[in-house]
Amino acid sequence: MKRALLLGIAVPLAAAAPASAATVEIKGLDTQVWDKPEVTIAAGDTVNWTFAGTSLPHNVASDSDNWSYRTNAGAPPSPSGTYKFTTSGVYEFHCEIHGTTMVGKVTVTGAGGSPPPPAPPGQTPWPNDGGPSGPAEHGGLDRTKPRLSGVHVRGLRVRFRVSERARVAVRFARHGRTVLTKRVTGSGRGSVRARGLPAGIYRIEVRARDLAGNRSRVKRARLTVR
Amino acid sequence: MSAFRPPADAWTRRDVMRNGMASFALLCTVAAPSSLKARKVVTSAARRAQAGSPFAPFRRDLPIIPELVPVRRAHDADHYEVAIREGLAEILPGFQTPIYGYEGVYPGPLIRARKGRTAIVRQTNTLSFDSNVHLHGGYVPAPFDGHPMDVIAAGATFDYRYPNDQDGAYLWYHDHAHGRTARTLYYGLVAPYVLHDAREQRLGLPVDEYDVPLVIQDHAFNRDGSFRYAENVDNGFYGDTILVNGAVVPRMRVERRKYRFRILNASNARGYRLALGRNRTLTQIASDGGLLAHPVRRREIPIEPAERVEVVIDFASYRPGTELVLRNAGGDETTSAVMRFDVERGGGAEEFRVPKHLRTYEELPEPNARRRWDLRLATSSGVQWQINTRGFDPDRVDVRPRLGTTEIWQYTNPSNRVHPMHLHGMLFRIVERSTGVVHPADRGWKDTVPVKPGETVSIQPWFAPYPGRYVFHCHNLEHADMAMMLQLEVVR
Repeated sequence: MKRALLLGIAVPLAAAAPASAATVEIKGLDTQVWDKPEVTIAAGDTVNWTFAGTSLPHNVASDSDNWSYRTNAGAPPSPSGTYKFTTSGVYEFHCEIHGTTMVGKVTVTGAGGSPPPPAPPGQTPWPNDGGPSGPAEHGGLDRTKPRLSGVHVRGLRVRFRVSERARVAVRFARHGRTVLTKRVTGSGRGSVRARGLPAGIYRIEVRARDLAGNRSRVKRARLTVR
Repeated sequence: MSAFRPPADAWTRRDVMRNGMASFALLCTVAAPSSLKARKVVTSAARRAQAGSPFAPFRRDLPIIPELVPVRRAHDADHYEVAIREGLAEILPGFQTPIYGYEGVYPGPLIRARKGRTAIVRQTNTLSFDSNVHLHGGYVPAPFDGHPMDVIAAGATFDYRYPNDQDGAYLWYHDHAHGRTARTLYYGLVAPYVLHDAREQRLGLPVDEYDVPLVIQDHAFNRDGSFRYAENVDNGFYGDTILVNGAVVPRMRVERRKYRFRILNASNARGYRLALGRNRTLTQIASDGGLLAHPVRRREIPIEPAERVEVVIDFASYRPGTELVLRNAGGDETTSAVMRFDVERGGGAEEFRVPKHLRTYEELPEPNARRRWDLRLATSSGVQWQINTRGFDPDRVDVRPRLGTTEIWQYTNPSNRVHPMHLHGMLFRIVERSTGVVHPADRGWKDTVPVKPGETVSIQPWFAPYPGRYVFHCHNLEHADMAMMLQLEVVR
């Protein structure tokens, strides 16, 4: 702030010998910002807003209550505006078309050059400072196949153990044809019981399939119904 | 539909008076009921470390949008009562943001309607300025469509009759008083409207807590937590913070099963390119006008303001503990993440598969007119966005299509901004685009079509079933308020 004050006072001394007013130029850019969004001048100085070389339409208009000024945009490059500030204070301006980012203020210092009070929080922008959101994915697809172990038959019951939560299908086949299929969902130890099968020797195939669709290897056993 | 619906019962107006505004904020932050499990103990040191910026992503659970309960169920219609009022919303943790909202809530309460059953919504405007309500995507008779000139004066009441005589879709309702929609939607007058039908039930799509409506908007804030709006007539308003259902980039705990997400882009001007994690597959099942003919598997879904997209995501194929970010592929540092899904254990056996055929589309009548609409910025007298060198004039009807016919409308966009062109009261099909083949996910019924810079898009609207005055306009709200809207009258 002090540096700005010094500049503000130095400029008119450097520009011309008597204490005449200075002119500051603010350029509006097609990147939708002003090249100098904040300037500090002395009372009696003039500010010019120019738009040379732009291809988007722009204008400049007052944005605070202590002054009223507006230019028309017209076809690009838009016509420039000029305003002479005679009273100290803070004068906000913006481009009405690109008002999200093309904002600025002119601080006019009087004889004493006291800085204006800070704006109330309800009008001070709070840009998003939440930081980056990190990687797009953490973890990944479930590719681990369920593992069947301990597949054995005791009497009419087929017992097995599966390593994770899965749907286990136990197929009973005789002479190459599937006679019965029993399904159970769970994890850890499980069993199915073959009821009502005619006597004979059955080939048993146990398969497990988890939620993600990974299939285990087939485990085989044999069941004899007497 | 299930009869038992506990969270909705709290949202009648009587309870608003009794519990006050704080109860809304509390209930809005509660996650899905099945995820309410005991968490492990968090130390105060961890909490202090976490208490960084309120903009930090993934700190809040996705709020559930409260559901509006009818005040009366008559034999032929459901009656709802809504007050358009000011309210407070807790969006940044620890701050109360003043909003305008339906029932004082942001986003407004969800109305669940059924095909064939009329809904009558009594809207009372308790604000100090005119407002009205437009049901976006609905087949609504002209007097109840929320024409920009049909406003509810401050303090007045109006009954909107929605016949709901259309196939199931994800609609939304919002303010449409002329000239200020950019601000009223931004300050919170936005709410979802879900229309169910029997076809969806037969298909067995996910329902209840696995059917999740999402309302995405981008905002900017002031230091006291209030919304910060600044006009930009050229691009439209772009905020630096993404809100989903009123929370800053939230997270959602999901089970290992299929979910149906109904995604609405309610931003003023920002379009998103949604992708999941490391470009995982999303299965799109519906667009603006309801179900597509067939599901479409996509890795990136572009969605412009006012468009809706419904996707089925199957979380069963991910390891428990996986975190998948639904991200915006075209965003910058603060607008790259939209929300995050945290896959939990459990899920259970699920027989449902997305069917290969969802819906049969009927043939349209042959078009009997061709019209061309040129979308341009005029700078000669002030700045105005125009369609065919005209801005909105409520006393002038710009086109008079006949009831029951279809026409081919061609939008050409020589400007350098995207224009999502929306048609009130009727739906259309996209016939062709100058930039390539019409994507399979865009071949269903639509009510909003984005026209990119330099592009020409041909659509075929079907002017049925109601006659009367409607409007069509760009749904980049800053453009719409700067008169990028024309009036049509469907005549017999």
